[in-house]
Amino acid sequence: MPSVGELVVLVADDDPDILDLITFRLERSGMRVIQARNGMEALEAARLKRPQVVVLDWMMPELTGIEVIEAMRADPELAHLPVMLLTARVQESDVVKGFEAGADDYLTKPFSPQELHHRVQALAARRP
Amino acid sequence: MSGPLVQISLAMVAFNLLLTLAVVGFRFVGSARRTRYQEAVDRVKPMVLAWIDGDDIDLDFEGIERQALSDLLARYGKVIHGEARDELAELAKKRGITAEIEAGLCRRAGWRRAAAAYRLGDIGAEATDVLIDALGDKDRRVRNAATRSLGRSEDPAAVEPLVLALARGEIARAVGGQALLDIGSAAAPQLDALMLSPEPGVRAVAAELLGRMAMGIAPNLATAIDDPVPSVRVAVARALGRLGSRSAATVISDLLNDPVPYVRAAAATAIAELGMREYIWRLIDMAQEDEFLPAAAAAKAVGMLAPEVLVASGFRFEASPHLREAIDLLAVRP
Repeated sequence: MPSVGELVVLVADDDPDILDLITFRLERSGMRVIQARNGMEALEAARLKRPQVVVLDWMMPELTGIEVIEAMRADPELAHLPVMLLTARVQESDVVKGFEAGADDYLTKPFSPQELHHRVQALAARRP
Repeated sequence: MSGPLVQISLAMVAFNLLLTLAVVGFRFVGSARRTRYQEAVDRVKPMVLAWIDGDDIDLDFEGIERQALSDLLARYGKVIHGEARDELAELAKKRGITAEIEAGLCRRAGWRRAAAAYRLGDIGAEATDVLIDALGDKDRRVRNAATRSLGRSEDPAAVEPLVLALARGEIARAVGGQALLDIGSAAAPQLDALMLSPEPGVRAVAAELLGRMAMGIAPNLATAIDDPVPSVRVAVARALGRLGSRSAATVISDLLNDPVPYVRAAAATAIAELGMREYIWRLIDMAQEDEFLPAAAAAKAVGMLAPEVLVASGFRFEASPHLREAIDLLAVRP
């Protein structure tokens, strides 16, 4: 299992309050958080800063979370990265669409920061 | 230039100067207040985040910091759930913030009342009674805000008032429907009870929502297939089709003989959604012989159930225009 202290997590959401909450929780547990406020920023950060886990909002400006995942899965350098989708979309078809696009986990808003933290840890543990 | 003209000019210059000074003064005061408020938010925010994370911090502030605390609790309360949100609501109540927000529901300006109604939902306040009262507000924005907050409260006590408001068109359908779905499974027994309401609009809304809840067929939903009001029978057929239970097959197939055309159309669509291929030939007959609306629905239903049968039937010489149109629609169906 990777050391949590070394874990770099990319968190992308256009809601600054959600970024605040997630960043606070993850940084407190020793992770390093890279923030992105839209899909394009998230994709660039994933390419340049090489996070180990990615948390993506579904509905973001520039590129949606789904489009970011598809772009990541098409890129051999990023294809292996574990991705969690964080979204207000709760329909079964949306969940299926998220997983079909390549998401590894799915959390609906409103969310519990503690639960998100544990899921990020679990995703990190499953890294190849 | 004569004396009076000079005096008038000087008065106008003085007036302009005063006006400019007043505008600059207001802007300065506003800007200073915004800066002080932002500084207060920056001071309070780390403490609120740590408190949400479980730290034992006494969040008791006065003045502008109290305002910042109230705003931050509403902002964070909107996006979190679970124990942290319950504690946040408790804190807001203990600090008197909830009472202050509730007082906002009595403000003169509609947008202020709407903001208060939204904030009560964001903060997770136990304010079902005042929010139900706000469903009767004269301003639609307030009614919709109260609806959304009642959904966030997940309190089953809000089900009946919400359905009544929906049936009477007092709140937006999408907002009301979402609020009832947010209340979730706790709303199902009350929705089923509302299927016995004397108001047809209430019965139709209740049937539609039961169909969207995916909680199985409620007892009063299936029996409402015989409702005397056609719009309720349509809502029931759609609900049963969405629920996808083949146990409803016989009930829905009876509606194919309903005297009202749009009820027969709804039944044809529901049969397709349930995947009842045994009714294909009955649907083809409908598509050939029925009135425009049910015939068109039946033809599309055949296309959903068995495209190959539709194509074979639609290319016959005597095929109805509805069957031919349904074949065209097959070509553009995703």
